[in-house]
Amino acid sequence: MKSALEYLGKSLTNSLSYSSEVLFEVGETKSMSSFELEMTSWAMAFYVFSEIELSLPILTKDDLDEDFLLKVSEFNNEQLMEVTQSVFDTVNEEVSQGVLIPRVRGHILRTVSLLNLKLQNHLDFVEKFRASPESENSIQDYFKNESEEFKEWMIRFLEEEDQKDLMNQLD
Amino acid sequence: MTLITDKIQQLETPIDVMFLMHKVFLTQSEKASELAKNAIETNDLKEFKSVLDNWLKLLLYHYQTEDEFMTGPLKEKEYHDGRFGLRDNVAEHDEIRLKGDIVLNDYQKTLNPKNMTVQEILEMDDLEHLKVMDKISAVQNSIVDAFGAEKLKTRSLRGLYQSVLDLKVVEFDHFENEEAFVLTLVREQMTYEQQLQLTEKLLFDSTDQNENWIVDFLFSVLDDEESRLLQELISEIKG
Repeated sequence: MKSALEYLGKSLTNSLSYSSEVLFEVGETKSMSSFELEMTSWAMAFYVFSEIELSLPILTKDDLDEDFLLKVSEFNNEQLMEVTQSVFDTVNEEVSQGVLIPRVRGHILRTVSLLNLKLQNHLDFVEKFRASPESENSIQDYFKNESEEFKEWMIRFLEEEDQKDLMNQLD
Repeated sequence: MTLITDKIQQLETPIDVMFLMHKVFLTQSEKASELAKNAIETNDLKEFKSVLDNWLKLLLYHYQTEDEFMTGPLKEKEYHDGRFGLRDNVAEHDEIRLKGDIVLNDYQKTLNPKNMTVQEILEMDDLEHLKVMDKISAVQNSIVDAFGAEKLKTRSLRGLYQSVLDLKVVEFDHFENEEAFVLTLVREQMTYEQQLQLTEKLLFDSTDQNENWIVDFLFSVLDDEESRLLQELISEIKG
């Protein structure tokens, strides 16, 4: 059984790769709004990921104590939020009337790539220091107090194969 | 601005050779970033290193020559947006050199990722903010052990890809600025003959055993029509 973090982590990285593809298509088959929609969806999903992650216990190893690992985790999450914000800032400041020029496309792609790099590095950290037997229940725990609408959105965000898997878990 | 997909159909003045050169440089940066991206999955940097070396060699020679023989002799001009064409061009060259050094440094890290510091492994740029400075060196071995060789290698490869992307973006912006602000000054201030002399410096490296290495490389990337344009210009230079 996968944990909520595993579901989300995989979908978050895939979603950023897809957002980059959308950016390449802007002006051809996609619009800037499509990209912004993808990123808004991503930011919401990351917020969920972050909430779940920060609620899980830390696994200490050797002389890596809880205080240290907790600070690293919180810092990584803050950084990810900041880079996410900078993607939106770049779009707001540099894209005029939905027209994406090559130079600005490069700036946005670089920031999305940085976001993906930081996320993947953080996922390694989560796998090493957050993954725990308790997390296997976290997806049900997390959804316990959420609305049906939210659950549906969350499921839609996941990859197709994970959607079925998750729905089975929630039944 | 010249894009990789653009087809250059004519050179109106000798300095327009820059369009051909920028296109080739951008092709190299595109190739390097693709190879760095693939290496995250394949772990294979052999072809990347060869492309990177070529790319950086071209850039370093090109900027040194421009600083000395192009921006050096020109008269400065302040643009309406406060930009100084020449000063900013030289500053951008310095920035690209710096980014090139970062790429090389990140490449070295991929060779022995266990030598990465805890800061580099965890990517914490603002350690003081975390107030864990005193702990950092103490946990070096534990962090390396916890992640293991494979994860560290992957982290170093991700870092390399990002630094290549940074260099590529800065290079693109620089070419765009140079084509808009500096080449205009070259056309305004240099005679046709002076432009030919400058172009010769840009295309032929008299300090190298093989002074043709730049043009050889350009020919290997440009299509037939663009190669013909370059060949005509070379014929004119060589008289």
